[in-house]
Amino acid sequence: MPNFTLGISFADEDGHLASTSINLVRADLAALAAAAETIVEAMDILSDGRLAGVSATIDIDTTGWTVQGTAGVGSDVEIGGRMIFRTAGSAFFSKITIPAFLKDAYTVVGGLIDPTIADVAAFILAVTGNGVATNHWEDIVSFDDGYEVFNGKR
Amino acid sequence: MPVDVSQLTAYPASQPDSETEKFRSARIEKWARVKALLVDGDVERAKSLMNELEAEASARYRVLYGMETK
Repeated sequence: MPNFTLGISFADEDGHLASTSINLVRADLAALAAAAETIVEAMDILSDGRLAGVSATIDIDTTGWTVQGTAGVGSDVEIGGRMIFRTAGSAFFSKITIPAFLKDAYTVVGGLIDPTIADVAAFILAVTGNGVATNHWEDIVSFDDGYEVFNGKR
Repeated sequence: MPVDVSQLTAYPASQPDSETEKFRSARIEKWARVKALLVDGDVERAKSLMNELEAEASARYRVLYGMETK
């Protein structure tokens, strides 16, 4: 059965938020939501705050995925490939940053990511029009641009 | 993924439909029975009733998430 982590947020009178997390194992999403409902309802009685939101993350078993088993020599998670996507009507932007980005393979002069390279195009295809959403749950439908970023300090 | 908090009895639903309101009322009543059983020291029956609460909710979510049709 999958491992889930619930994130439960409460707001106080001033609107300040505090969250707590609970790990639990359930057979599927419906069973998870039902367990969340029961636990949070019981928790709510003990709290004077207002339930602000409940989310869940699932720990997915990656066995069998076509991903590399070991990190490359010289790989650095502080080097990122920042991909900027747009929502329908280009109303909003959303970014996804790929850790340990292979910048030498996928960027052109100026550090821009080249969307015409097949590997990049495949990632864009996987993200756009595929139910992937922004932080505010608008559908991501197209790629805008991408560039190399460095997240660390030297 | 976010849980639909509008379905929870803990959530002050703004405009619940009649079916949701019926579900919430039944759930509030069942919670009261769980607590009464705990006050009486009948933990076994309280746990059983709590499992019922979860099973009923699970059935509802199976429809809500498209895992089953109504």
